[in-house]
Amino acid sequence: MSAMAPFAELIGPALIYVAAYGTPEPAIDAAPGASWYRLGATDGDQTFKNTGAHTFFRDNEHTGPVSARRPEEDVMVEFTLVHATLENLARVMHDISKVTTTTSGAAAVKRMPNKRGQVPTEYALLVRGETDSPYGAYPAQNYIPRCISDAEPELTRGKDSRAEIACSFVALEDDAQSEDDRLGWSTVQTS
Amino acid sequence: MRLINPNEAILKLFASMPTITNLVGVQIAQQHKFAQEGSPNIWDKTQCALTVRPDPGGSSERDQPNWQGRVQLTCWGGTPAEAMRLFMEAAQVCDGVRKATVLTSTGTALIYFLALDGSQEAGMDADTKVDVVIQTARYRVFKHALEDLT
Repeated sequence: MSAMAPFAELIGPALIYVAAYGTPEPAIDAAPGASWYRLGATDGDQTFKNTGAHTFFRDNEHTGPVSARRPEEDVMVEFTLVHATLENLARVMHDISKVTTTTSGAAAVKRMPNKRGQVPTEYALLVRGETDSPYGAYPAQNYIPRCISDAEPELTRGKDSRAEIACSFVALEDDAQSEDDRLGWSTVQTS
Repeated sequence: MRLINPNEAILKLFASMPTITNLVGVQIAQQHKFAQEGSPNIWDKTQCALTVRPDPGGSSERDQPNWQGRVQLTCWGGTPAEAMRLFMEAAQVCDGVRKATVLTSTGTALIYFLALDGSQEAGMDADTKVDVVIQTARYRVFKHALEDLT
């Protein structure tokens, strides 16, 4: 019975924030500051992936592998946005600076180009759950210091369906961090 | 270790919410008390009431110490609008549950989630002639009292 850790079950969706690359991780016991933009609302599953298959090496002396190396690894965060504001779309497609406020006739409008360009915008990403800590009813967060939006959104519309934006943020190595932290880290509150 | 009654935990959760008790007062239980003629505890049909009772359809996780099931929430009201108003507040409570803790008669319960399951049904209860909105909700509740964990 002592092995029971009910708070250790990670249940429920998280809140997802983006900020400009270089924005530091916010304190766990404070709301993310004004530099963090909350991407939302999301719907459906949210996936946090750590990929990186090993290459195994064998020799004639053994039946099993004798060594392994991981040549590549990725950290990816995937979720679906259901609010198609230009502020959300621009951050997923290219950059918020592409959204301009102007007029069309007598109407006030916001305008966003379709072209994404060659070089993606680099972001910091924060995935935060207010009760995600496995050690009690505390928050937990995963901070990725450098990432890009790898999404190829397909907004599919229908008579009784909702256009949803499939998002995928992929971590890039951040040389400004220590070796272990270059693809981000988790912070969970314990007390 | 003490076992948690998931239905009681969910009832106590609703009973702890001012948005609910402002509407139902003390009229919240597993079964309604509208028909207790002559009893001092008889419920007032002109006031909102909430009943939470077990509903079939949940799965059982045999290897995990969690209850996974369904409850039927019945929102009673003096008018259809009042019943719907209570339902909307109850739906808000459900949406806000993320590892909620609530004190029950057998210790503190941990409710991981309480998710609305399908759409609601509105009508009039045939026996009591009180307007109702009925909604089922799925839940996951840890089976044991949190105080009893070592």
